[in-house]
Amino acid sequence: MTPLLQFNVIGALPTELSLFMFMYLPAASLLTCSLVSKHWHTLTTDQVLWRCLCYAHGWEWRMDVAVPTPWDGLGDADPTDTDAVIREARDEGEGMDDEEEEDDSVDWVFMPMNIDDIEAQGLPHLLIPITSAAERTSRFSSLW
Amino acid sequence: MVHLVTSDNVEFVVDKEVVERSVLIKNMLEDVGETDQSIPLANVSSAVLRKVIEYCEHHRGEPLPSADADQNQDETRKRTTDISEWDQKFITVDQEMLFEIILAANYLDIKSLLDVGCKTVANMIKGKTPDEIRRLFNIVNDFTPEEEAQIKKENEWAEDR
Repeated sequence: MTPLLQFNVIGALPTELSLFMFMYLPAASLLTCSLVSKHWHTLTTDQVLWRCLCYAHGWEWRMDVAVPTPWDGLGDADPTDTDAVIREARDEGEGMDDEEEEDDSVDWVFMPMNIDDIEAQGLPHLLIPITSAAERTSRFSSLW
Repeated sequence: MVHLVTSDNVEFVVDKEVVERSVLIKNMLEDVGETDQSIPLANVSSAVLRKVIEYCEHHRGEPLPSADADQNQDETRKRTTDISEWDQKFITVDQEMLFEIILAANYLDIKSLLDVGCKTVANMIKGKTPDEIRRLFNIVNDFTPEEEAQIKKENEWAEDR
């Protein structure tokens, strides 16, 4: 397609639409786009895009295993299985986490223990170990 | 029939079945009920609405994606940028019109048209170098050479893919 008029389509779109468009690009193209301009760099390094790419590959978004596990005592989780999931996520997620915010600041004393509370506070990643893989995928895809 | 008035004050009379591919208008009509009054579309020009109606007429009668199904298919759908032959022809427009169509599809809530627009832009980008992309969209490289080198270094992890 030859453009009749050179025009910065993406720069002119509202951010949410630009991100929506970038969701159609594979990782390699996103990285190329990050070199186009400062604005594009900001857009293409948005965590939403990389999170989506991770889930599209069946990867978990990396969590810090050093943080106390809030699901301790919830009862439903199989501890062996949980560890495996986290290890896998850490191994495969290597290098994808440069800008990940560390959760060390979270005060676990006030951890919400009710699932609805967790969701209401925008912390659905805390629900990973007590849901099945299939539910998890749909839960996350519904966020974006 | 439904009457629509564009930002430049042009009136369109469109089949209800056609115009209801826009979830915005569908919901509006459900709320208001049968009416002869025209619906003002302050964000859409006549040139763009003509294209949008052309799209809706072609896809008339096709099932609208339900909100739920759409969410579940989100991930797989996002990974493919295939566009049907008719849609591809339809969306072969200049970049400004492409931009206007994406905005209108978003405003009118026509998911499939928004997809076609975004996939088209994604396909224009795929496989191009940063320089080619800049030329394509008339973007100025506002990085210093040092900043550019730094980002290239940060992107190194993906290089052998």
